[in-house]
Formats: sequence, C-alpha cells, structure tokens
Amino acid sequence: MLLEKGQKIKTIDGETIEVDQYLAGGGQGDVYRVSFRGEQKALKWYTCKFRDEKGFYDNLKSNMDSGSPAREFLWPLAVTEKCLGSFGYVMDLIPAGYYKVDEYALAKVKFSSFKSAVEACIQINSAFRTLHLAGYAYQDINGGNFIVDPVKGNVLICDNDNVAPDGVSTGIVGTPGYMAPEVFSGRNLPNKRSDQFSMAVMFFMLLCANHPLEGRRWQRITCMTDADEMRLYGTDPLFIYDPEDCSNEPVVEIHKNVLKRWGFLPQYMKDIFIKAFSRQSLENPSRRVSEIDWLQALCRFRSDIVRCKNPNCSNEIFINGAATTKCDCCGTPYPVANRVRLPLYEIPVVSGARIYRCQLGTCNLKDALNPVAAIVSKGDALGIKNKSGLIWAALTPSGKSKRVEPEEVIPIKPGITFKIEDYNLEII
Amino acid sequence: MPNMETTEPGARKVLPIIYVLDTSGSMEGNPIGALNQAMNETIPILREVESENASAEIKIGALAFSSGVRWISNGLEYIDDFIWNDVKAGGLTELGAALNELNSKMSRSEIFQSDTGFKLPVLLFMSDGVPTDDWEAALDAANIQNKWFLNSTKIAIALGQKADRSVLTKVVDNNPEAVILVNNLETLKTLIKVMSATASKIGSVSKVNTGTSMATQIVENTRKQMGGDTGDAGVQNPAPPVPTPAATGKSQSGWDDDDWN
Repeated sequence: MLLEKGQKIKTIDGETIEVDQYLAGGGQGDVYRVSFRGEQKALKWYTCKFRDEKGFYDNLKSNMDSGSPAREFLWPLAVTEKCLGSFGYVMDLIPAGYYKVDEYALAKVKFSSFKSAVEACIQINSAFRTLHLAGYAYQDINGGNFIVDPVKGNVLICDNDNVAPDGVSTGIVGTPGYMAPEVFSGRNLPNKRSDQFSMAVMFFMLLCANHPLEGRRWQRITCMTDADEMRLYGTDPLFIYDPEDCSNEPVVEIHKNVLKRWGFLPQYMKDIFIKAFSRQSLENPSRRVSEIDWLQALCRFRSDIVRCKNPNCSNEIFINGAATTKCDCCGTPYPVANRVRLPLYEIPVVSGARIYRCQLGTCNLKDALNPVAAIVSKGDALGIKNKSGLIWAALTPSGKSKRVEPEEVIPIKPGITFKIEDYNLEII
Repeated sequence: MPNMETTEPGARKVLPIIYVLDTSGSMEGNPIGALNQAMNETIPILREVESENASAEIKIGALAFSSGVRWISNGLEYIDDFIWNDVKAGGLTELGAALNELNSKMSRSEIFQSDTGFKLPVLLFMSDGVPTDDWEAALDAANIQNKWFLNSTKIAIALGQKADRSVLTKVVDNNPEAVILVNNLETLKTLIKVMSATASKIGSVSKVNTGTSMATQIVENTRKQMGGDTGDAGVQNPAPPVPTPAATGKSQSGWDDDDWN
C-alpha cells in the first residue's frame, strides 16, 4: 500500500516521520523521502509479507541499536512501529552523483578513470573488513545495493536490512550472479565466507566489466535451465581465466571488455583473481581470498596507475614491474627512475603514490589502510613523506643515521634505507 | 590501458516474455479496452526494468488468438522497439491454434536467435472463455515436440467466471498456483502490469530460500506487490497437481546445445 504525502508514522522511540514523496519501488518495499529530526531522510517501507517472519523486525532493531559499522553503510537510523500492516526504517538519502554497480555493468555509467574503479574496490573491501570484524555478514551483495561515484570511486552500501550476525539467516540467500557456489547449490546459507566470494565477483565486474564465471560455457548454453545455472554457478563453476582449464574462456564477440582489459592487468592482480576464483576457492569457502589480501593487492595497484605525460594523450598507464613503462596508446614512455623496496615487492616512485600499513606486512585489520608514506613532488624533484606518525630511522648511502620526523620528507636517492616499525625499506 | 569510455555493456542472456492473449468475441467492449490499456501501460514499466537489469535483456512477444492467431509483435522484439498496437476483439477462442503457433515458432530457426542465448522464456496466458478447438492435442504436441515450450515458465490469468480455469491450469504445467482469477477489469489492468514487472525481474533480484517453481514465485511476488489491492484476484483453490506424461518429461538435467531446436 502506498503512503500518502503528509502521512505521519512513529518510530519505536515515539519520534515522528513525515512522508514527503515517493521515490522508488523495489522487490521488498518502497522508498520515500521523509522529514525526520528536522532533516530530509529516506524511509524504506516494506510491501512484502515475508518480512514479518524469522525475527527480521528484531534484527533490524538490533542493527539500529548497534549503529553503523562504517561510514559507507546507509545504516538504519530508526525503525518504525508496526502499523498499517507493515513497518520500515529511516536512513540517509542517497546523494546525487552515485550510481548502482548494475548501471556500470550495463555501461550506462562509466568510471572517469581506472584508478577510481580501483578506489571503489578498496572502499568496498574496507567496508566489508569493518562489517566482518564487527561480527556481521552482509548476505546479499549485488549490483543493485552498491552505489558508486564514477569520479572519485566513493562507495555507499544500501539495503542493510539483511545484515545479520555472521551465521544468522534473514531468509534472503542472495542474488543470482553474486551468490557463492555453496549458497547457490543450497549446501550452505550466506555468511562471511560467501560475502568474500560475492565481493570478488563485484571487484571483477568493476575492474574487468564482465562476469568471472560467464565465458564460453555460459555462451554455449542456448537456453539457460535451472540445471544449467546450477552447474555454472553452483556445482561446477569455472573461472573464465582458469589457468588449467580453458573451456570457459571469454568469447571474442561477446566478452569484449574483459578481453581488452585482462592483458593489461599487473601480474599480481591476475594472480589474486585466479586465486579468488580457483577451483579450491570456489569449492572450499575457507580458501577464499581474505579482505587483507585484497587490500594489499588493490593498494599496490592503485599506486601503479599513472596518467601518460603526453598532454595530447593522458591515457592511463599501468606501471609494469615498477619500471619505466610505455603508454599503450601513444607510445610515450612514463619514466620510473627509482623504486622503493618494500618487504615483499618494489613500488615505483611516482608522484601521488602512497604506501599503506598493509603493504609493509602483517598488521591489525583496523590499521591496514593507514597511510605510512606518500610520494610527493616539488618541481621535478620527488621525495618520500613520513605519514606514519612515527619517527623513522634512516641511513644515508654513506652510512650516516638520520631521524625522520612525521611529515618530514626524504629526498629520493638510491641507497637510502629507512625503518618503519620493524620493516626495512630502501630507495633503489 | 583501454580508456574507460570504451566500456561496452556486459553480456546478457535474453529473457523472452511472450503474452498469449484471448481476443475472442467475448472480449469485445470494456474487456479488450482494459487489455489494450494494460499492455500500453506495461511497456514503459518493462523498459524501466530492462534499463536496470544487468543479468538479462528483455524481449517481448505478443500473440493474439481468436479465430486463428495473429502476432502483435514482430516475433520477439527488444522492449525499446516494441509498440503495442491496440487489438480488436471478435471471433472464436482457438487456444489450440495459439499453442500450435508457439510450437512452430519457439525455435532457434524462428524467433529464438541470439549470440548470447536465452533465459527460460516466460509465457503469460490470458483468457476469458472456453477454447473452441482441440487445444488438448495442441498442448500435448507442444510439450512433446518443443523443449522451449516445455521448459517455459507459464502463468495464466483467468478473466471472469466464464474462463475455463481447468484448461488454463493444464496449460501452465498443471500448476494451479500459476493461475490467477480476476473478476474485474481494474484489477486486470494492475495485475498485467505487476505480473509483467515481476516476471521481468525474476532471476535478477534477491532470492528468498524457497523450493517453489519459478511460476509460483512470480505469482506469489505479484500478489505481495499488489498487497491489499488484489481484490478478487484470488488464486484458484490449490489442488494437488496431476502430472501428465508431458509434464514429467520436463527434464531437470541440462542438454547439449543441439537438443534445442
């Protein structure tokens, strides 16, 4: 039943919500613009009967009481009383300039740069890290409830009514295409591990713009029956770039985006996708790629993306092997004169690159995205700025020790070594 | 790295939705007017669903039956290209002719042509009367000869008390829950719109853990969406489905491509 303009509804705490305007309808409910606590907010109002069941209302209240785990979540701010045969909850309105991941998949919206797509992945990953740490599982990751800003890659996550403590079912099992094989085939209910699978699908969709399990096997199915879907997504899923079995490889005429992009991805990004969609990981939820592993790869990737210095081109270039890389569009080389050797790999010294705590080595999840250093430029000269809040012990090439205070900059000279926490880094 | 501007829409399967509509003489006057209005209002709704559906590309077919059959659409059409031309009522209720037409046209060499393949078609039947031809032979033939027809998700609207619900139940795979009875034209208009929108979203929205058939899910979701407005759009008393030989032939295992005509 539709709510009328001016209609007043009470929250469980007795506060008043006044309906202003109908905004949109969805599978489970309608969304209205309302005024609440003197501000414009959104009200999701359920039109779907199953919502009364299985402690859904209590779960919603408990989510509201616990508060939002991270700023990315459009979290329930207040839950209404049960009235007019239904109930709903208040959340923030979606700001202008955000679009559903589905709209990116349909190419109705395009990222302004690959870097912003990577940023979106980092933000999604970071939100889930926080959600999972708080003991929740999202359970229904899909292209309709993640909204992204195409310029900056900022992310907001809607439909947090299905969020429940890890292992608790809300009745929703997920959305086809994003469901983990064990959930699709009915072996398991959604949990943190199935979220990790769905998240990897979303990363692939955002970065490669095709579905990771829909290759030749998918294309060859003339009419997709339930049994076909079960094999493709449930009992016998196969990554389109599985290194040992090419029977589901992308099809030239159909899977154009991924065929254009995959070859350009740095090896470590290919590797992490291959790992995330390996047979072991598809079959065994405990072998999923963890949020921290994704974060390490995505942060590294973000620092490897630069713009071509040719002003007539300014195409994006993925720096290859932390060395000078030619623009694949105009051929102009992007010079990389120096690198920083981290414990596990080297990163190119390019202006704007950052080093995060997770790139040094094992760390607390909550510290993972703290920047520890940034590459800064003054004219043509580059330097490394201490963003860690800690004093670094540095050693010049001639063996002199120096203290590097927070916000102080080290000039780029090969041979300088410096220590952050217990990790040794070197400029080469 | 290729410019993000060159990104193309991701590959989607085609979801065919085919309306099989009774335009016999008994539909003359207000009923046919209501049907025309409902279909006209359904198109923009389907366009909107289509524009947000990342997993399926919707294509529409519309087949009218009275004394013989007539395609209102040009086979299957993209929803953006599809225009509803109002239909007139008159003639007999040759449901069998419609089933024969589906049997011959639901084929890879006819209306089902695509590089990416299809999702299971949705067949939406609407009738207000009793068939005047040998619909049973046509139904058996379609179920035996045509895998597309056999495996389609089928739902039916029985308009008014004169509609033969037992016939429609047999057409929709002996699933009484997939037949909705409507007694007034206002409800019919809403029902066609809501049911179309629900059917077009099936397979792309959040799933609840149920073991029910696709057709039953569409009907259940439709009823939920219509909420208190269902009025007399009640579901016929569910009776245990009686499997026919054709219905039990509905295979749950996949087939090789070449099995699909």
